[in-house]
Amino acid sequence: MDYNMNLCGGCLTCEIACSYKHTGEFNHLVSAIEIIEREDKPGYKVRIHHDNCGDRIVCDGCIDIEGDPLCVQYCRKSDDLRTIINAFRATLRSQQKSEGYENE
Amino acid sequence: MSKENYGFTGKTLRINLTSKEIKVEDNTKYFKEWLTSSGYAAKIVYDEIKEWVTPFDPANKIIFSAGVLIGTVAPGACKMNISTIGPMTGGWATGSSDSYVAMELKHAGYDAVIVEGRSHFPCYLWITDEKVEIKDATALWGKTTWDTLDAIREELNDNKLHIVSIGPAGENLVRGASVIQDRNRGFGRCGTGAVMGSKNLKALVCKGKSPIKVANGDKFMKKAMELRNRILNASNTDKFSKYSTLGIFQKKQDMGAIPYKNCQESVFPEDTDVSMDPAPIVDKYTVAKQNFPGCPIGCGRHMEITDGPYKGLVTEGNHWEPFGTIVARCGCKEPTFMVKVSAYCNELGVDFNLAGGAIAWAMECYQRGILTKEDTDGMALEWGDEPVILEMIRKISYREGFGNILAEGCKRASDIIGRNSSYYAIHIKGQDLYECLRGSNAWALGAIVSTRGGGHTTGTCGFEQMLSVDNEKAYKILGVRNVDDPLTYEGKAEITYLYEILHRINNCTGICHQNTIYNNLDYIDIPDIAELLTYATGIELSAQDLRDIAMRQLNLEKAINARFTDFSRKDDMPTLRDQTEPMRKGKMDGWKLDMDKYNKMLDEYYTIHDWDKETAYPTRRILEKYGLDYVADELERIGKIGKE
Ligand code: SF4
Ligand code: SF4
Repeated sequence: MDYNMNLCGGCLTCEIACSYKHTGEFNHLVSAIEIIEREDKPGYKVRIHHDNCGDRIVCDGCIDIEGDPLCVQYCRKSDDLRTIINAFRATLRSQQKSEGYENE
Repeated sequence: MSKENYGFTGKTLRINLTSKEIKVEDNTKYFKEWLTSSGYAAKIVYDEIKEWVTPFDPANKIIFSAGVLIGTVAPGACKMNISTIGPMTGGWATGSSDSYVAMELKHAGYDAVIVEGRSHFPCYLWITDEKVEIKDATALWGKTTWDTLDAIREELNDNKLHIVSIGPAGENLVRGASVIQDRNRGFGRCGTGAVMGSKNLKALVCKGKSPIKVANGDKFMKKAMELRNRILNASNTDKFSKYSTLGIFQKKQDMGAIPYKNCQESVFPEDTDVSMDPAPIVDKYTVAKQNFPGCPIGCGRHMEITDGPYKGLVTEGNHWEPFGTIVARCGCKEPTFMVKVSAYCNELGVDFNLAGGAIAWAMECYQRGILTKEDTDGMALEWGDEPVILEMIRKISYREGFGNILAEGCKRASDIIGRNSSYYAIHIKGQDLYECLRGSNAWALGAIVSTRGGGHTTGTCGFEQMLSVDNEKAYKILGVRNVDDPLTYEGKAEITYLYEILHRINNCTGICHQNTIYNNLDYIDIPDIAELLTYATGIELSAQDLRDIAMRQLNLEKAINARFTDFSRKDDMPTLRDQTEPMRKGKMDGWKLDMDKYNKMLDEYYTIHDWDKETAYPTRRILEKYGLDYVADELERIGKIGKE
């Protein structure tokens, strides 16, 4: 799922942090979040991997963490990334609901 | 099997471009004495390059390196280093730049690449965790760095690749050719790009998925987050994030630290003052941000110029260097020229300081009738003539006509032209200089004594020019007074010593100076780095260990220069202009360097280092203190050991 994030500076720190959270090692190319250069103009967009895709981690929204996931904690513009991740978490929840996975 | 490394990979790739031999070596044994990256590179340069080797000789070596913290979340750990024997000074040369490539190099499995020999054909290196290839770059030769990036991404079918490459300037052995990462980040100064050119090496491309491990993850992450928060919460971070180094404009104007018209005047003329402030340019034209791995500050900006002479230009380029060293130095009046000239130099792969230094020297010579149109291919070198400056940059990069002389840098150009023009060549140790050496004594001393030749990133105090330093706080953190008084000579040798340490440790580990107490007293300091390193590597390192490592490296850099150059105390002096003239115009009008006091400060500087005051050579005592007995033996053999 791709999101525009106007103030993303492409530092990839979110990628680095995500890989650490899930593997205990730094390896940004396997992270669930991927930062992509925009083609139309300077800047970056955020891709959240929600399906199995190569050796990438699948984003689980880090719901095991209370508060911000690591990707958000390490973002310079954490408010913006938080909005994206929360939006993603919401889609995740609604998908799970419709697939009957939600146990509430 | 060697034991597992944490933080650094423990592996160096050695590629000989003549024989095409590729080897992988264990570098673990160097860590405790030299750390990684530039410290390790200094050791390789010292151990392996023989005294008869000159910069463009195939026997010269060039080392691309990524520090131990690169690839982790350590704040600002994004700087890559390139080190060699360089063509600007003939001695120790090292440049660093923000980079994604450093991280990719480590994920490919290596801390460093040592490139030796000279390829028979233009080539580039494609390094991944699966293979290492020397690829044909014939089709890339002649291309700008921007086109090279596009072409390599296309050839390797991956539009996310990051590269470091040279442009026409590097290919044409322009002495001050830089290496560019992707499009806009330069390994400037020293001419490392020309050394790549001499090896027929166009670019380095890295990518990989081999993980970077840390020994004590919990503590490492906790410390990294603590430092991150400290930086984010510090006063001034927001301003620095917004304007980067350009935010210092007003302070520099107040301090008389503008090298206007080749340092003839110390400020922009008051009537253009307001419009020359580059900060509004950033506000007006920014279209996106640019940060590098780990950095909590994020000071880069992509800009789109929507009006004026450079309308249509889209590029990253909000940094002081091109503004100070070209816009101010060449007496320009259009602030957006900074963005244009930055992009142009980066495309062609030429260092801002070489371009600005040589062109401003030529403009002053033209002003004084030392050079005429007869010398300059018919061009009138009038101050501030932007099309002429751009044309000169092009001629320098292609070594065309008069550009062929300027491509040598202002010092050599003045030697070639003669006519008593050397007074106007603003350089230290042969390297063009943008730093103003009058009116800020710690800044001046650090820039002058720099082993790589004139520069403020290997031992200067960045905020001496801020005019608003909290002296008590500075004393608590640095242990020295007078940081708030740029005009005093007392305590400045000590401050220089401290920043020589900090800058070396930053370069060895990969941390950007701007994330450290170089920029802001609340930022990262040496004890913080010691903690990060200990948690990352599992090797216990104290702040004192780091200070010793940095001083060991500095002494080795001195020894490298002793082997390859004739540098001595005479080369640790300000430029003739700075020694002779008072500052002109602005609030500091009339202030002049007191050379007696300068010499006393220099004596003190040598004494702190335990170097010989007469010759500036290291003594056996200090070399042995750092375990460099073998260096002392060599210096003794060549008659360059300091008297105790
Ligand atoms: S929410 Fe968790 S899994 Fe998803 S991108 Fe962020 S850190 Fe990675
Ligand atoms: S950490 Fe934030 S600013 Fe940096 S790349 Fe990720 S989303 Fe962009």
